[in-house]
Amino acid sequence: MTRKRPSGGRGGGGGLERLPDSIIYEILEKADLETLCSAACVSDTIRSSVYHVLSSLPTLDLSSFSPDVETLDCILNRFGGGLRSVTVDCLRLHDSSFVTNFLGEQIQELNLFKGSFLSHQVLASIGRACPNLRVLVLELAGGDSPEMFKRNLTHMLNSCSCLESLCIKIRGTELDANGFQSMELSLPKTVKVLKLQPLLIQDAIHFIRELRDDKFFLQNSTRLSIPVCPVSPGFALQSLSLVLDIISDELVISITKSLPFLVELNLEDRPIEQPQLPYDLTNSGLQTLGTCQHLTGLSLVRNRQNHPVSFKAVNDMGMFLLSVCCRGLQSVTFGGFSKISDAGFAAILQSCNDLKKFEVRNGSLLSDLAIHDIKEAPCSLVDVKLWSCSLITSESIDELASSNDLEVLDLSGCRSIGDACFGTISSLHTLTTLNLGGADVTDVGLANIGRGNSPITRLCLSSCKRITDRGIYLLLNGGGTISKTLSALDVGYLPELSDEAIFTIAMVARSVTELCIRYCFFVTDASLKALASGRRLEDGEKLIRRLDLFRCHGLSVKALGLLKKPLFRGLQWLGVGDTRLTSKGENLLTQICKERPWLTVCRDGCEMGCHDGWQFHKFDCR
Amino acid sequence: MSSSLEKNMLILRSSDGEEFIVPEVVAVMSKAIKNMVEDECASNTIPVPNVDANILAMVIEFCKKHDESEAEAASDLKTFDSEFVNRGQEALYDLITAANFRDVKELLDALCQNVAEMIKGKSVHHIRIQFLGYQLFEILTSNFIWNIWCDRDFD
Repeated sequence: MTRKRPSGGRGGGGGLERLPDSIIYEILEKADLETLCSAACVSDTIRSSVYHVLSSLPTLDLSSFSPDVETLDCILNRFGGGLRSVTVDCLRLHDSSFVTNFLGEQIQELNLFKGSFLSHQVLASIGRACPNLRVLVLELAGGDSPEMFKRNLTHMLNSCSCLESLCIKIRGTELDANGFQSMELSLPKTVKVLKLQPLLIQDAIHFIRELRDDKFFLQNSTRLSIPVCPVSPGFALQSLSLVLDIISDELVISITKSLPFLVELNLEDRPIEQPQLPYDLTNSGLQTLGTCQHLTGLSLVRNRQNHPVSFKAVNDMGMFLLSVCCRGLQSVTFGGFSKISDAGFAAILQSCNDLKKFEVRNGSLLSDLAIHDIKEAPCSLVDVKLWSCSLITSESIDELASSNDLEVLDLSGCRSIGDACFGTISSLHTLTTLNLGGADVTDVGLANIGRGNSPITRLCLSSCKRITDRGIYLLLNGGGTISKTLSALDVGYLPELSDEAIFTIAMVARSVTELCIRYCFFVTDASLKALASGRRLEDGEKLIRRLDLFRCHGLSVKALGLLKKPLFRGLQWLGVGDTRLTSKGENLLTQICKERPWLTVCRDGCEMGCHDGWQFHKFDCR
Repeated sequence: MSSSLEKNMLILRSSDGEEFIVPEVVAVMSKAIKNMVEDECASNTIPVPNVDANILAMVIEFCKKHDESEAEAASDLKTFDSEFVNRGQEALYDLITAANFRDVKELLDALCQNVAEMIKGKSVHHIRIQFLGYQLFEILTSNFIWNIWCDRDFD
């Protein structure tokens, strides 16, 4: 490499380049990966500095896009033995050879997301390559036989004897869930955080009972004459998250007995039929959670994806008991508690003084009354999510706004929320995420946010059917903070929206990197053209990274021409399912994908970035 | 002059001959000066070559603030730092050179952080114009991944 360093000294030109190497390293060490990559293209001198910095970087996070094998190999090749933590989006990886080729004993943390096409042998490879792993997060799609999965899992657990955090999610196989059978046999005792999905209840109960080291417990309690002092069990498990077929009292009781030191418990079930007693969660099951005195995070969710089910055997009494015995809760999520009314939810809100996060899904009986009077108690809520709670109105929002720290407000599916709350919302000076999907919001409400001071970065207006182009204009041209801070905008399912709105977004919201306009039928090629023309990256402008055009029927096949270089510079994810771009332009689309190796094209209608739906990908995203 | 000098004060002389009277505790925030003082090879006047009066005054201002505000809230100091380093590029590079040469770690950290922030999220073109002061017309041939984020485009 030729070095063209100016001779140094004042006035020698070259600005940055006249600084000594050590200083350039120091500057580059403080930059993020994206900046490093840009800097590497600036000049030969800086590029060689970037090489140097990369080779000693401890953390590599590639979760923002989906690399193919060649790209990933190239990247990993550049990193040296200093790498401790690696995060990769595996959506486009077909084999796990990168694990054995590039990762080694020094790796302590490994996060592999969206492994649609990865075989379960990746577990064995990880065990072989990274014996010193402390943290492992793995998302795989189902497919291989449970026996094979079990064999690979056991291999990995036997190799990685100092694991502290283990999270394995197998998606797409809800019924064939016995892969985790008898994994307790080889689970390292160092594990503090454990997340498994999916798991059958009988396996879970068996496995959790095995975690209790009875012999150890008995020996100690007979030797020591003082009976009160709880003896630490063999496992120091502090956080447990399971996705099961059914949550029952028996399960909760075995958890509380085996793991009395639990700090965080997350349980979700997806029954295929309404559970019947005694195989269901009841008030007394909730009460036993009081045994876990250190519990600060609790999430109990009954998912309706397989059948319209709910926790029918739990009523307000269960919540009263829980609120009395678990006052230290800081984060709660309740999903599918159809019998719990305002009294039950109010008990939790008022007893748990440290509550930071409050989430209720499908709380069909939850109304403003539960949240009324929240001002009376000291309230420090940071994160409030009320999904599909159709009785909640704007009044609740006024109450919630009494918390000065509110950052996340997610009201998706709360269809009784109207414009009245926006005066309050726009004055929340810490709010960064606002989800109003399906609310009864109009242009008037948006105008209010547009004038406000909330530093909102993520805004979802999906399915707010009364919003028009005018609303989007008022939102972004109101002179408020949002036009500068907004980075993710979802205006999908808005039948009134036309090109005018997209022009406004392209012109004004110049820091938006994620844009969803799925199901906007009146959006045409002109919109895409406005978005395509390059931004210049100066003055804080950002490139559009992710764009969801699913079912934008107004787009013609000619719009494909706008996806060619150099337009849409930096695009990383594109959702084009069910449009003319896929039905008539498949060849051209394949060509574009070849030209842009870092672009993931999703034809399946996944959510933004294939965050949900990747497990069903049938064909390559290339 | 040395007779009138209070105890624990040092005189620093810049490259262009200007002298600054500085408390020792402030002066020794520069490791280079600290070493000289500790080795007792420093007379009353310590020459600071390669650093002119203008830049030396800035460095001293920074050190003084950091010395005084040990008890102050860290956030106040952060605000001061970010305002202090917010300067034109020439001064910035001179300061960096001085901080590096005199080994003033806090100042160097704050300055490097500032430059890193200035580069963050900028295009290749922009960095070239702003930080190198020239436009490189040749495109760096590369079969490599640098442009994953900027998509192999040199505006």
